[in-house]
Amino acid sequence: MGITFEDLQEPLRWIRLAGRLDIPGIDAISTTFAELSASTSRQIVVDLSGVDFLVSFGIRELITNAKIIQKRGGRMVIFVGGNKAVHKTLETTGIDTLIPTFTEVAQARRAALE
Amino acid sequence: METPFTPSVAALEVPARLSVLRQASAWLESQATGWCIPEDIVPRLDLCLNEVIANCVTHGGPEVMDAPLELQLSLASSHTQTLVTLSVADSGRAFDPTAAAPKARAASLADATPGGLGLVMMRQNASRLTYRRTGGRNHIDMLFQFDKVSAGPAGRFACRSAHMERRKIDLGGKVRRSGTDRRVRNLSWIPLFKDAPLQALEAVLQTCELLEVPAHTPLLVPGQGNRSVYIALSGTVVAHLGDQHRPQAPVTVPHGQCIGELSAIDGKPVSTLVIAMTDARVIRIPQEIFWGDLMTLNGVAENFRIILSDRVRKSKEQALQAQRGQLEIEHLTKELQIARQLQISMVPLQRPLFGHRSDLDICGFMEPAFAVGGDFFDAFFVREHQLFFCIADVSGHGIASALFMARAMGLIRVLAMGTMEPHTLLSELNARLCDGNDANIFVTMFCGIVDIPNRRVRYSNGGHCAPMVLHPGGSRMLPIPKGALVGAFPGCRYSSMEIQLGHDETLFCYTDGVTEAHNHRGEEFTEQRCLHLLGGVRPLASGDLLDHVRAQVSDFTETAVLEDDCTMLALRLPAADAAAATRP
Repeated sequence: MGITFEDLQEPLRWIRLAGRLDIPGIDAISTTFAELSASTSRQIVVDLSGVDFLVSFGIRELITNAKIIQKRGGRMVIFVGGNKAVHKTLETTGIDTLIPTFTEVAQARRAALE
Repeated sequence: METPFTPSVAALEVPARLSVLRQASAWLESQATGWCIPEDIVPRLDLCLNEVIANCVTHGGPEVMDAPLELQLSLASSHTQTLVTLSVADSGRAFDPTAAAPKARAASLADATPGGLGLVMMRQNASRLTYRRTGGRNHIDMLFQFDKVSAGPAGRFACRSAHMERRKIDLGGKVRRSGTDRRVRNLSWIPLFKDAPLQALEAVLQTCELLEVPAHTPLLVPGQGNRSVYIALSGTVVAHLGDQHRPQAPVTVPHGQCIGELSAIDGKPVSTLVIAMTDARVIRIPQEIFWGDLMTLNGVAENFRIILSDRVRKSKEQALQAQRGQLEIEHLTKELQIARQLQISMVPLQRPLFGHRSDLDICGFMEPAFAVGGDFFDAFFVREHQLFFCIADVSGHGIASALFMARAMGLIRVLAMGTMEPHTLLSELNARLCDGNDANIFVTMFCGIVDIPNRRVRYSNGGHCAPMVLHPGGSRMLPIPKGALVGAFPGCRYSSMEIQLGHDETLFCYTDGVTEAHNHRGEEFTEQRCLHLLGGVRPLASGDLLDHVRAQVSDFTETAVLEDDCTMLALRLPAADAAAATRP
């Protein structure tokens, strides 16, 4: 499981998660993910296009961080790109209605900055 | 054309720990690859395996560690269909995932609670879920049915493989053996054959097959054609009624009862999954023999008519019963949702609670573990600068506790307006709640009155856990006066104590759902751990402090789902300028 980030134009931060988002994978990135997403008031795009396995604990991690960001006046959106498996999981669990989810980079950036 | 199955089975035992997840996934993938299970099915199997193991380990209690998890993957293919069954058995607390109500979708991110999605995802990925509790263990079977793509080298990677043995029925022997063989040789106990001429019946049945069906082998698969009638003689054969959207508990098919006769009559695809849960012995009567030979025997057609009439009558009764049950469940679910909303609306959850006051920072948090819980807190001004606050835990859960909570909250609001002493309020509350308390419900409660200008907190306690006083230089437990739980014993006396709360101090109150939350090893979060964690935290606004504690509890338990209600209340009396700096 990998996590990288890039600060684009202020206050937009793009966080990329890649690999297997199962419980061991979540354990590996959880602290870094929380620090990157919730340490400051930012607009965050979480890029899941490189995630090839997503369990419910991974969704829980997304919700927890999205709530903290929202409470601090920020906003989280999700970018899935062409990752149909992850997109379908987010749709069927209804998470895409709570955290806006996009397949296009430009849409995700725009929505995060709204 | 008959569609024989070629079942294969693989098994693995692993300790009941989250650290085995990757090992279990690797085993599953290896088996799936060896059996040529399609690539789009493997992640679905893997997801269900991860969710069910995580569920067992995090919610199974300490007893889940008593024995290893047993994982079993079985595959059975016909000419057109493949059925994969992933089974997990654990020794944890009894939990039926098929009976659990699906998690309601949150209306907004603010309403969303993490957790509870694993079951949703399992239901969406498996074709069918079934549960049984036998031998003190939970057995969850997740069935995946799909069109056969290509014949894989079934059994090549299997730890053990099983094949259905077929042989002719031998009814000619003179020696009558005991047990199952005896039942095979004398078939007059089967309702279909009652009073049929024995010699002619034996002649017909000798043209049929006796199947030795291994455990987990399907006999009938929904959607497939069927040209045989089956009769189970031994073992456990179950029928899964309903469909993947409305699964019903599997029904055990009684020995001697016909299976598959409806699809054999009308030629339509099978609608019910029938599967041998243990090794079973089954008679297979081909359709042409059933109609051409068996039905011509005296009495058999009449027996069959009675069996069908009985079946139709039972189906009608079951349908009506199911409809009534469903209506009741829908009604109760709605009622519970309303009760939960009402309960939440009674507790002041706004953040901040009294935003107009810069000299007060108080915030509460409540998360019921069940649809409705028994915890509550309250805070309101009894005079211009005097704030009453309380936190309480009603015994039990559910509607009874929630109603008791509502009664207690109403009484507290009335009583608090007429007293300056918390212990007087507890005494009076105890007397009122004891009166007519036939259900023997009680409440533990800590309450106090804050004189804000003088920073004095006068408090009393009725059997509740001691709050903590958090300070940057070191946190401590608040000394509490002795006092029995409220509502159980008439005539109880309570007393009050007083502290002065510093500018940089926080009074942190909680219910035992916080300190008694336990992880999969059975260890409790404990007051000491909570005190230690909060001792090292920089001064936080009350709301942030409560979020921090909740996150720490989740990290400790490794799950977001609570086993007990979790309620907290934090109170600070900041200097006006400090309040502006720390308030979000």
